[in-house]
Amino acid sequence: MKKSIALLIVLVAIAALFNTAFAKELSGEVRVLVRPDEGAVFEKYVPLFEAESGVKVVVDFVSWADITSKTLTTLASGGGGYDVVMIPSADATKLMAGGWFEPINDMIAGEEDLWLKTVVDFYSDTDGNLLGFPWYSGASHWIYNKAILDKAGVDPAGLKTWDDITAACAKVKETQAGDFCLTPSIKYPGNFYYGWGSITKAHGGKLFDDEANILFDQDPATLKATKFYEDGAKLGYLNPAGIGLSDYETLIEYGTGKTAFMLNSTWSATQSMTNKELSSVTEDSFAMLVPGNGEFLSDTYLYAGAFGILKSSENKDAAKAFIKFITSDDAQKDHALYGGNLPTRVALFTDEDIAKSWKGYDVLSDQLNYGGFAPKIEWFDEWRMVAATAIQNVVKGEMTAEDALAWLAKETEQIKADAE
Amino acid sequence: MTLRIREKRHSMSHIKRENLRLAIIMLAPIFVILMAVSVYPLIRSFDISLRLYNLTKPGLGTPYIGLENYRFVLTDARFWQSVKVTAVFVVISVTFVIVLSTAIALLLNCEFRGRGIVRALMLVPWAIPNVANGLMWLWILNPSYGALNGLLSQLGLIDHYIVWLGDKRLALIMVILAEAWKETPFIMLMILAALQSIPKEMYEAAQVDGSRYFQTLFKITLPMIRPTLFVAITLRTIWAIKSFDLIYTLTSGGPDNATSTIGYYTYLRSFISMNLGRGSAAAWLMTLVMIGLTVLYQRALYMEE
Repeated sequence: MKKSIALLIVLVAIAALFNTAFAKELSGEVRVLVRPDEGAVFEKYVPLFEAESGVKVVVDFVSWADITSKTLTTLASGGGGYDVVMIPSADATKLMAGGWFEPINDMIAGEEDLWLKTVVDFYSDTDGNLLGFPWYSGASHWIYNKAILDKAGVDPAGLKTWDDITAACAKVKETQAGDFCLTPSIKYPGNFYYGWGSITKAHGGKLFDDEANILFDQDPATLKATKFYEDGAKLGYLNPAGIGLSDYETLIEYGTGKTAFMLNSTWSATQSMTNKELSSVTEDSFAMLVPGNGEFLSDTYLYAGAFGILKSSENKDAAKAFIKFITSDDAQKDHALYGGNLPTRVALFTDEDIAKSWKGYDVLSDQLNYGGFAPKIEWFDEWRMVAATAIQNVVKGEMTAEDALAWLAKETEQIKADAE
Repeated sequence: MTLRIREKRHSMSHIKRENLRLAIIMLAPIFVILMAVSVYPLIRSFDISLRLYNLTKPGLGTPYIGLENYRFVLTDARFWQSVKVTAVFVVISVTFVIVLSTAIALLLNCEFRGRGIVRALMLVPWAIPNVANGLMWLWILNPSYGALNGLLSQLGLIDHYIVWLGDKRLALIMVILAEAWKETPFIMLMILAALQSIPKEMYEAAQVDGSRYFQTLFKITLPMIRPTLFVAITLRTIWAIKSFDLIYTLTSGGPDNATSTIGYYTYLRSFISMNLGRGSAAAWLMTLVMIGLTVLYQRALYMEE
């Protein structure tokens, strides 16, 4: 009996010790830097995490427009006291190159299959260190207005390649079923993800090799994609207004019901099909895979967001616990339901609630299987600006597709030289 | 007697010392604030402009590289393109705003019913934040559903919608228009205040002498408000040179860098290239241009006087 009591006391003591150690580990404060888009999810899950863990979470929001500069200046000046920083894929190369983030492979060890592999790979460096924990994903999607296509006598099921799209555009124009076939954003930064960049990728175009050497100036597929713009503008298929429109504005333009197709982000795709305040053609809008080039079914550019833990963080364990909590099934589901973002947890791609809430969720999430991330180049943002100028000149008829690509190649060499 | 004078002198110098001490105490907070928010950043940005300061390459450190950043900026074709755009933007924008402001101020200086309400309404654009102004004009100029295209189309002045921000020349004109709409009220207010300080007797005397409207305008009104006009021109020039937020919101410097001013170029180098050294060098070059122009204006003003 005495032995049993002694054993019980020892066990209780050990348990108490472990409990104290755990509580000690997860105490203090975690400072987080994210975008306002994360607001709704953070508002709901931060108090829950605080109550469960005893860790105080301080969240600072930074706008989309400032996230790169604010985050980079914060990191360069020693981290600004943040523990967790959001890393949008568009800035990932710049942010991850500085060596500011802690490798967090242990957070995903043994659970790799639960996460979208493309996103995990993208946020890993060349040594295989995972620097960003997957949060959301997205893609450039192809949306069509069925009413316009019906009027033009086009069967959307038959639209598999870009030649099919061009033929459909001719019919839309011929039958005057719509004012335009497509209004791509030809303005920086929309031109890359929601315009020429994704269209080039879908044509099978190659922009750069792994060492950031230029491929696009000698690449027939890239030329064909650029010709799509040149000919499309000449024949009146493409709306030249795209020169001055951001991707959000092309959503509004598509929502007026005068354009047959839209190439846009996951959020814009969902809004065009569900949000009557932004789109007057929600009933007629449907998603399909971005057409391929005949050799493959589809391709497009993907984007994502992840959470990184700074090396300068003094509360890494609490930061990890918080990230695990905020990227949980429930939180990602809420982010998908209310934020218009695709999840990064594989299990959620078959979630019935999201599928019910999102029109075309199966097609939109399937697009993630046919896409890739933008090249990992530090001067990519500057290049995107110049690429937008090249395509604007093509659409305005001031340059041929060949001249634009040659000019872009020359400018690219200059940007590379300046960056080095 | 001598003692009294000494005592008086002593007491006066004591008062002077007390006043000086009080002045120092009163001015110290603003001096500290100015040093912290103005002088230190200026010195620091100059220091950065002399360093290799690339945020995307923290491994390289921030060593001094002399005038290399200035050399880079001064040999960069995009910088000279932005200088050209800035020059056109400043000349047209300043001329347009000054002429328009003077005309409106002259109108609002006349007596008519509802003048107070009109004066108050005229100030509304000035009260709108720059970014909000940019976004508002973005909607007005939208090529597909913008108000300007709609209006011109309804009036039968255009047969197809125009991509206002897609054409190099049109984009710059539209940015100037948006800038003028925002900035005219403040300049107008300055000129209106100057107009109201002109003694009425001068106009009465001119009327007695049979002076016509334009004679009065060029011989009395404009000479009397010349110092204010100089201040207005100087301010407008400085504001126009450093114009950024409107361009950022409306055109992002495009199309084809047609609206990329020096201010926007500075932003590109600092926050797109993330090269703070080059960005600071560009900012300092811009500052030197502004100082140079201000000195020129001031000289012209004093020569006139």
